Amino acid sequence: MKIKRGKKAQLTIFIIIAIVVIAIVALLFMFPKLRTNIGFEKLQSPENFIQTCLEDAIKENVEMISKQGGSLEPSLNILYRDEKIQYLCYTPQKYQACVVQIPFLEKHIEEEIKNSIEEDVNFCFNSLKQTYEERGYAANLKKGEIVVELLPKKILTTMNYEFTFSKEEGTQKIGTFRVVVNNNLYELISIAQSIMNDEILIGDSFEQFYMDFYTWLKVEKERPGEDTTIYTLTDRNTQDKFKFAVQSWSFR
Amino acid sequence: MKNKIIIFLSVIFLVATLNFISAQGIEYPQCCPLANNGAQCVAVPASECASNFAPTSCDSVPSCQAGVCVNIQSGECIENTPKIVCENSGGLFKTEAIHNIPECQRGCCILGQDTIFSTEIACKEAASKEGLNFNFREDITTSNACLGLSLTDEEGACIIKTDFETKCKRTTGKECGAEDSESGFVDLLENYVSGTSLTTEFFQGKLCTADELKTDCTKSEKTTCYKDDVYYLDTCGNRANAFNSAKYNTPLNSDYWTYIQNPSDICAPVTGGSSSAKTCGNCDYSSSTKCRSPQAEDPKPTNQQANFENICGDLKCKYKGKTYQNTESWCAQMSGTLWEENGPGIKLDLDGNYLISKDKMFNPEKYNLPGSEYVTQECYEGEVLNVQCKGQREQVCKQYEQQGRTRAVCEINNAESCTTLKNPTKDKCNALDDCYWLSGSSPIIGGNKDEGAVWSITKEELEKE
Repeated sequence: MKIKRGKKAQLTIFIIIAIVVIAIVALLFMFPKLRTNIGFEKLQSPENFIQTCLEDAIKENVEMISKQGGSLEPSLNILYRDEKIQYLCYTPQKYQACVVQIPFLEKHIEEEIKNSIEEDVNFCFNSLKQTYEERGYAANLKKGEIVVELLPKKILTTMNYEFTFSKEEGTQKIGTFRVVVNNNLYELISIAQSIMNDEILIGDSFEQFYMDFYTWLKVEKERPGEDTTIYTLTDRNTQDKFKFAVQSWSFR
Repeated sequence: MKNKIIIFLSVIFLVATLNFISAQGIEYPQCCPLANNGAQCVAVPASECASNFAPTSCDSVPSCQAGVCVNIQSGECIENTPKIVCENSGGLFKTEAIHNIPECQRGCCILGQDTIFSTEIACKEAASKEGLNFNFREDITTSNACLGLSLTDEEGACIIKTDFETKCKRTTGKECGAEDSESGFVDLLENYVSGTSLTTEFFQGKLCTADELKTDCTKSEKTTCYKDDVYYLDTCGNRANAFNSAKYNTPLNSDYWTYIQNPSDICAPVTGGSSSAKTCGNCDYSSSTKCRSPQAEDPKPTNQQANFENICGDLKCKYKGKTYQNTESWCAQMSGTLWEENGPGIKLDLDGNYLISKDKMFNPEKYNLPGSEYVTQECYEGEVLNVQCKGQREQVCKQYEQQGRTRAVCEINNAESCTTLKNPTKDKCNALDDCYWLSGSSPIIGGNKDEGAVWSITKEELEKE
């Protein structure tokens, strides 16, 4: 009989322990900040924190800008399959070469990406400061300039934000944060620029030539309207895309 | 006399009417710096213009004059850009022809092992972006000559020595001997102490596996893709020669593991779907093969070859029962366009002459019907891509055979040449590539006389009336 009572007590203790464990796990899931506060999660370095926080936002914005001809809000556009696509070169006249609407595409896109991520950058830096403060650091943030550069095979975002954090063991200061996103937009827009030159000269382009020369490239040409051509350039290896519209007509 | 006056007045009236019709077609010159749809410096009517409409051509409106837009920082030169668009983008506007603008003169930009045909400023910009040194050759004035330069710097085995270790890297002599190459080799070294001596020695045309070099790089069954071909990798991760399974077991002092060889000297080019893909890595893009990881349509290895991770993949396309080679193109079967026994599209010889008689080709009841559009199709790496020709048959698909391959292009259908013909006759009309003299009884004209299509009326005809 004694033995039986002992087993019952043991069972009760196990049940109580199980309930407590489940409650703790549930609390940690409901309040993620608790995980860092009680040391379950290692505090990321400020550089890693910003890279993790911004990477997806940059990728999403770059994708959006890339499928809209390089503009976040395309000024002169064609609505095609529910997407607004920027005309890079345009003429409403028959038998006329198109007139360039965005001359320096690379610079324009760098500016567009920068404008599109400004809010995300501020959000991530504020989160960084808050996270460090919650872990007992004295943190200070000084906002600075954001520079986006399209480089071969990557997009580099440099943020000259000054972040200082200190605890008993000392003070650290970081003056420049860099986020790298792998993307072939640099290569794709240089081909887009060449296609635009062809359109100015002959009112069309030889997509076969580009695909023969750059075997990693796929050029798709669609004609949704009378004279508009929509180009989709795809890197076959990475599946990065750049889509733009041109309306040109020339016998030159 | 009275009759003559009536005829004279009628002619004047007719000429005036024709001019009016013609003027409506051509449209008056107009220029709009900013159209309602956001377009800048385009010829649209005043009703579609958001600001400063001018009843003159854009060349006469200073802010809309088209010229070359120069980006002084990046070296880009963009033609046919309106002045206002250029200046708003931070560019320098020039009205001279592009070949007369010093900043736009292009030469050969040598960047590491690559070359780009660009302006000097663009060359500097690219070098700084890619972190490479550059050499700008303004004496090379064509893109082909520039491209050729990238192939002249030969590769070989670069032996990197420190006091503690010896490593080998397949690279160019230029890179191996370059003063700044040290930083690139440090990653290869396991025990490098910064500031200690590091020497390099270059063996042109040799592989790192060469027995005589006494490196720790030896052959491996691993392969990699490089410039479309399949290559063996050595145990140090360097490219050896193009894959040839029959030569794998040759000793390390054999030519195959000692000298860099051209893939075409190693085995015959592999054509799409050929079983030689299992044994040879000399892929041939023009014969529909390219290095890739094996896919369903590729030949299967006969026995379980180790590391069979790359193969000369079959890039041919199968479409509607026909097989097309990679990069071949053809006119698509589109209803209402020209569709002859030998397949759709307008067939040409290599001189651009029609292979089908005009009487067959211009049958107005069967072909080129209202609403019909031409489409070309292209085989690219196993995938069929559609390229629509311009709508309203402003372009038509023309197809020709070249070196046993079908090629199709969307070509401009120059209908203007028919309507601008002076005193048209059947012969004059039919002599033009894109024109055909339709009989007046043709249903497409709706007439019932066996006369030519009328684009103008002569004085004699008027007198008959």
